[in-house]
Amino acid sequence: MDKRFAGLKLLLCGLLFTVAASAGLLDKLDQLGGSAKQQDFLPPEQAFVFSHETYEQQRLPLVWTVAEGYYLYRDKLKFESPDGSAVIGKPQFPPAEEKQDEAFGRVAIYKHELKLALPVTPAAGASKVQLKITYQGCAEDGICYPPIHQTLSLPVAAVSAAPAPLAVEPPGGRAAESLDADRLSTLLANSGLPVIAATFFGFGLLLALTPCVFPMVPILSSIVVGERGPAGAGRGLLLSVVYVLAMAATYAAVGLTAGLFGRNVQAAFQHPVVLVAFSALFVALALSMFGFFHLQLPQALRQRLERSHQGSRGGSLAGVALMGVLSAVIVGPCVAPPLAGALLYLAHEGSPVVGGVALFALGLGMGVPLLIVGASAGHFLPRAGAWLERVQHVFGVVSLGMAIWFLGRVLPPTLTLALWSLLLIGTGIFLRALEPLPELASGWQRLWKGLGLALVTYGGVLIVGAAAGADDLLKPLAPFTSASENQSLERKQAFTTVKSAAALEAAIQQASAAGQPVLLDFYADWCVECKRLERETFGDPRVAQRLAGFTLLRADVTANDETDRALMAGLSLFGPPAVLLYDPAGQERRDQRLIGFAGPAEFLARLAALGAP
Amino acid sequence: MNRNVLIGAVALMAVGSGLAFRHLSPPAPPPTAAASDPLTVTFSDLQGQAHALSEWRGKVLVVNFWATWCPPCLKEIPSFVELQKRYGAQGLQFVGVALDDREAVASFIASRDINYPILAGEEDVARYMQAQGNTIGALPFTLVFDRNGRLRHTQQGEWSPEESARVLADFLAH
Repeated sequence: MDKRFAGLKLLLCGLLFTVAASAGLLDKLDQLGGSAKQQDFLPPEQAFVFSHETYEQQRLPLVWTVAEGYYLYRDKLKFESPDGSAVIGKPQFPPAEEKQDEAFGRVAIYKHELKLALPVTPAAGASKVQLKITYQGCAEDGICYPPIHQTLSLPVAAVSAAPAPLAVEPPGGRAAESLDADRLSTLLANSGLPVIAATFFGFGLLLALTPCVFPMVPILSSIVVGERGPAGAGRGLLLSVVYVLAMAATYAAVGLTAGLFGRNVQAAFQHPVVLVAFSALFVALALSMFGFFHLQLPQALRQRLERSHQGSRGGSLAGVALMGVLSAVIVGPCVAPPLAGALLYLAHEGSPVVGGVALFALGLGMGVPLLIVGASAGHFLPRAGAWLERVQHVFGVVSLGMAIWFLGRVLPPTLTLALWSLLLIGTGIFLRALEPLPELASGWQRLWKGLGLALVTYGGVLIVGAAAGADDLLKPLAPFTSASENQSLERKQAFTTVKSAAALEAAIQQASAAGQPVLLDFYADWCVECKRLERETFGDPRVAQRLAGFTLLRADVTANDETDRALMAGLSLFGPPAVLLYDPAGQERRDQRLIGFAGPAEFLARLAALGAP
Repeated sequence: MNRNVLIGAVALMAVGSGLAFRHLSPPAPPPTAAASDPLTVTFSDLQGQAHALSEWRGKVLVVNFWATWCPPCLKEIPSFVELQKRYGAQGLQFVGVALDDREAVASFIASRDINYPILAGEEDVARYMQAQGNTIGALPFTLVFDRNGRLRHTQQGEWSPEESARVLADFLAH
């Protein structure tokens, strides 16, 4: 028997690594695809890519990367501190090229790259310095860009490697009120590494209170209790610490990757191939939970572990660590919407260290309740036995549910609903829902039969709903309640679907020619929060009324193909749900960008801030 | 056994009625879109007086966006002056709209002989250009409206004297 498990175990591990590797590869491919696309003329932020390094020793290193065929004027570079929070010295300009200009005569220009260190002396008592940097340039092929303004806000005692976010002002010098993509970024801008770590720890604590983390509690307690009876409190705590550390390390790896690639890690994990692989993994786990085979470490490794932990009770440390990693993977998708905000910030940060530390802190925060459970489990949890088998069966069902949930991102929603129904009916039948009770049935037997019947019934309702085209697990009969069906049809019609960045650009132009603001909704069939957003927020009569004057665009990224990923990458998005608002001039209001779900009241506030008719 | 047959029958009926209901659901009407007239926009002249582009409706109207800091813009202006001189009587009208500081524009045109109206603005000009398809906001940018006020030609970047003469002569002939 053991040989078979050993093989399977290795197979599973291999699968996980393949998934991780292919995610990275996809990311790379995507980058290649993105740079191959070229327009006639580049938008200014691509023609002149501006960035800065850490402000240290009263010097701010500035870097412009100038696209091939474009150049910057040396004499149009301007540095100011609009609020007088700093005194700006004369920078040392590197040697410039000379260009014979028909209008201006000989001018000094920079091609390819310009690097300079700007002397910035903070005013006495200033904790932050405000800088406004202006530059201007042209393309060799006969166009010029209006002066571009960058507003920077830098902490004076910058001990960390965390640069402040950039604010790009649109041409014409509009006030820089839209600084960041979301509030989390604002919160974290200007803070040092310890502050970032502390914030993410707190963030993790909050996540621990979501239902996402609950499934980890029984996993952990079954490990701590083990097959040889409850471990002592000390041993329990040790096992939980290992479990939590492994989980946190997994998140740290994700954060590190986000920082390294500065790109969409999550989107890569939404690739159908990856999702199907995960789904298969969960089916395998479920089968093992049901006792079709026994999942454990290779025998040789297990024996060695047992030798090294002789006398110890409960699970082996390596096994616990592996469970921690697996749990992080399991829970990851569940906490994806809040993680998106964090990853957005970390990708923007572009620092692997910050990314790793931040998400490690996040994982630790999420693990605090688990540590408490682990430390106390030895006291109040009963010995392993029949109950553990039950727990394993419950986890088998949960694993199958996870498999369906992953598949739901690639399968049509109706088919997904049908799978859910099969799971519920199957579970119900295992609970003996359709078997007669013995004459002297115990209370427990009656309870289980009742629960089983309820599951079978709901499963039946789901099948009916699926056949009618319902796609919502919680409202399977929605197609039959005609009012809501008509409404949702109407709303689906009102959105114009845009696929590519070019189509989006054209649609925004058309709207702004008509003087209409634009709402751009990123949607995918597999995105539960998107559906909730559509139903609860866009479906709210007040919101619907407020949106009457809007051009409603929808980017359906269900396929998550290269075009979709290029579109999201171009807008620094990590995947749905996301709602972008553009004013009637066609400018996106980054400050009102919505990542994740927002209820009608919050969403109305964003619309109000847009100042639309 | 009987009970199983019953369950199967009920399930089949439920699936059938669900499928039937799906096909009976009515479709919703398609949305409509409205477009506004791009000539209703107004820009100030150098004295601060507002002018709507619709003032020149009925002519072949060339709206040239330029700036004093834009060498390719300055390069094409003499050819526009020439075209205005040659075709003005046939109903060709150039209007220069500067995305620039009004004083800089005033001192620039004082030293030139420009025979068509010059308007100027900053953010309003940038926004209008964007609405007309200049998403990158770069200059020069030129729009040609026909006598009915319809946008017929959009030029991003420098417009060579030969090309502009050819396109405009074509519009004037119709």
